Amino acid sequence: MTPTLKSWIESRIKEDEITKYMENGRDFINDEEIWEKIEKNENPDPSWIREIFQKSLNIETLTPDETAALINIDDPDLIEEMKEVALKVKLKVYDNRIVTFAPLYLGNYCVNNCLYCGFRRDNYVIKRKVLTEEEIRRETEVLAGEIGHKRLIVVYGEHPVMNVDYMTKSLEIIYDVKVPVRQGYGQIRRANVNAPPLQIDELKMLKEVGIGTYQVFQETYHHETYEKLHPQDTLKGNYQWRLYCMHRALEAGVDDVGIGALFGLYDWRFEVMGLLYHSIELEKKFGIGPHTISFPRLEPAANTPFVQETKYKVSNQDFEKLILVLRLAVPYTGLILTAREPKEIRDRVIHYGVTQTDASTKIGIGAYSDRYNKQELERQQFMIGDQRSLDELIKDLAKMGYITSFCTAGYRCGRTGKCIMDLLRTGKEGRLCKLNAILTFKEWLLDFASPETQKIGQILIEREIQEIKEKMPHVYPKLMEYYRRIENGERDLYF
Amino acid sequence: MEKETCTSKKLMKFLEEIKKKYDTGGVWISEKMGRRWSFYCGIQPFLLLPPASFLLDDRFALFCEKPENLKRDIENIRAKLKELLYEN
Repeated sequence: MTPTLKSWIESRIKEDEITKYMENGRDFINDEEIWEKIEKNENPDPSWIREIFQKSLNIETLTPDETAALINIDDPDLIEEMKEVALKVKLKVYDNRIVTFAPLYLGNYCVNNCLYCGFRRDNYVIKRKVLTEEEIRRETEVLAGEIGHKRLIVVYGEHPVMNVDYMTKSLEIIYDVKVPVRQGYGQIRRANVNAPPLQIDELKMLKEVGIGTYQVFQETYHHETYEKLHPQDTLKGNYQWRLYCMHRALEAGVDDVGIGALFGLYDWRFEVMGLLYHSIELEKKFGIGPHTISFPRLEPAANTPFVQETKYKVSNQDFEKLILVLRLAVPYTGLILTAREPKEIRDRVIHYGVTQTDASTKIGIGAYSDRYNKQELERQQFMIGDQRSLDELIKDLAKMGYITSFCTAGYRCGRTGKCIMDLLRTGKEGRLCKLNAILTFKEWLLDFASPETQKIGQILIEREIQEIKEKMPHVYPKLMEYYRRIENGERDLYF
Repeated sequence: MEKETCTSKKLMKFLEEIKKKYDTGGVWISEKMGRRWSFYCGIQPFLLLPPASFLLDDRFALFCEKPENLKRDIENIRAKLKELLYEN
């Protein structure tokens, strides 16, 4: 390791930006307590479970005991009931819309050495690359101008070549791209960021450039497992620096934060509880819970035997259950299901309250503009399971009755942070979602859709408009005015 | 430690007055962050009508759901809001 790299690593962690949030020198994940709750709530009484269902339907965050009880449900009938409740909760908060996005990996350099990750420092088989400004522009042109994405999750590694200056510059480039399309133009309207834990001053810089959600996954909330998988001589070896990065983000003024765990590193039941405790902690300290929760499962990666060896692989059955429990435990949050999962799984669990998903996904560095479709493990972090294009996914969702939303209206007028949290909890955001989903979906059909998707999408839009006419007559005239203007070529009209 | 970018009671009181006097529906102030707007303070939307915006300066804008009545007094409102926003 070069002295410059060593010195950069040593400058990263600011102890005072950890300890200030801790209570009595402890973090908010108490491993023993979590296991006690899971064990104590085995064989929960069905009548209590139904009370918990009602609490979720009232869009209230569940307690750890209630969540542990849901985790312990084994009765197939109750699980079926939980599926129905999960969908109802989702419809109440977000209506029948699904938001789509694409991941954009800007590099695969990393100073860490996590046992499960294809991009770990010592993995010699990986071809290392970080995108230049021109390459970032080209990737964005394909994503926004050809595929039609409006939202990205921009992914950075932990390395000085992708420091905060690189992050802000790359985000400016992404936001600058504007590509003429059939009638309107393609543009990224919301760039979310998946990045390493940053310092408060750096997070302020990201806020100023206009990021969407700041997303960092704890990977595993279990202290001992975390220590085993993230060598202590690496930056990522500091559990609490990572755990408190959302505290720093909210203190820096970032509106939306996204948490997640990598399922397969430790017992899935513990990780679900960890995500709940994290949500409760943020609500308690900042009045804002996570904007999104992600629940990726560990996938094969190049030269990474850990993935095959782990004893905590999550079965499909448990995967379905953990999504249901998360949906009910933190009812207001967005749930992100990624293309790591194969089509058949995605088609099934989308009904369990998922709110966001990706499509036309490529995770190789520079893969969108290189236009190669084969998955090359030497260029990507893991294997993806669903390679459907955005057009195909949208068509499939429309057939299932879900409208794809490209809405970023909240960021156009400042319905963010605590404001959007309250709107979500009260069900108002769901109604705004429906209106904006119709308008943005129409834009997309006109600008990007294949003839078949246009046809199926239009049938869905007409059904949605009819519903607005019946249920929200006071906004119907305005909706139709905007709708006609979009048909005539105007863009970015919203409620 | 609640995330509250604005804690001015005077500002909130003035926004309440605006809502009542001009029948604006939700009326709130947002802060510009790059190309997007971030909620700063105010009364959240509840009518679900498309929001109208009035720039206050390079940093802040006023948003409301029903701008028709407010428009006629916007210059005075703008001046008062700026005074309150930068009071501290």
